[in-house]
Amino acid sequence: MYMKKETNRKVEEILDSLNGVKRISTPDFFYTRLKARLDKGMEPRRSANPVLRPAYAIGILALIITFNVISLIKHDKTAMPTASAPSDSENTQSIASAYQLDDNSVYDLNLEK
Amino acid sequence: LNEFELIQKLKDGDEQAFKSLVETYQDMVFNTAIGIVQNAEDAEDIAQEVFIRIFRSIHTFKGESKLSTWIYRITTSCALDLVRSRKSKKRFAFLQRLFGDGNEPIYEVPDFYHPGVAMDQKENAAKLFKAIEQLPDNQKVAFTLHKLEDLSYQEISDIMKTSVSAVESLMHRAKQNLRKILEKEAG
Repeated sequence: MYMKKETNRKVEEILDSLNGVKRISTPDFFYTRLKARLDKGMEPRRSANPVLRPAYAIGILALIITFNVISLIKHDKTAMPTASAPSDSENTQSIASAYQLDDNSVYDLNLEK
Repeated sequence: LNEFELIQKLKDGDEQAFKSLVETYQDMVFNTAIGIVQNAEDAEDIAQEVFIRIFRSIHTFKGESKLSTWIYRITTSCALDLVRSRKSKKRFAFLQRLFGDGNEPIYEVPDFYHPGVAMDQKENAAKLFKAIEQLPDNQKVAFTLHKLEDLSYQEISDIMKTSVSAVESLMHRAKQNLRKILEKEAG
């Protein structure tokens, strides 16, 4: 009981130790040092660029991955051959015939010379 | 030069106005910072950073609160940032020690003896500061502003952007926690 009372008294004494604390002054030539730092444009504890914070970085990464996945899915859908659309070989054939490349005409021309 | 004129001149980049601002508020900023970071060198560093921030962001000050309230807000925020980085350094040092060869020094904050405390109270105040360090940030800020800056609960609520009853509750919890910590230390 006595011990508890003694502890309580000590604790209260510690809690009251800041009563009447005096305000302290800034060290001398504070403004001179501040001005030098301002002129130098130097900040020792510069806050990090918010874009470089992990939360932003992860968010941006997730966004890039999502865009990639969406474009991949879209690309797959457009590349898939449909019944009505001509196949790749048909396309090649039609282009070749349009430019008269389907009958080895290049070689024929060379022979004529 | 009243507060409004001072702010206008600061917004115009008037160097004399900036000097006047620093001279008016430097002790307030330094005292608040030293109470939170409990180190004179760090407190001066924070005070410089606070005035640099004010210089660069005065155009964002809309005058919705008193200038001193805004400055207190910046000061507590800067000081808490330092305390947090110090804690993370301590955690990192602990991990290094755990996984290293055990020879790495542990980053320990020495006892803080506030220069404004009466000589016969120095030891008790050092114990109290050690206990304050263990408080959650908002309780630490409320307690420090009340005890060291002698601010009213109304002024603290303006700085912390909260209600007076919330500050009362913070102070009550801070005292309760400090009692627990100090009892543990004493017992």
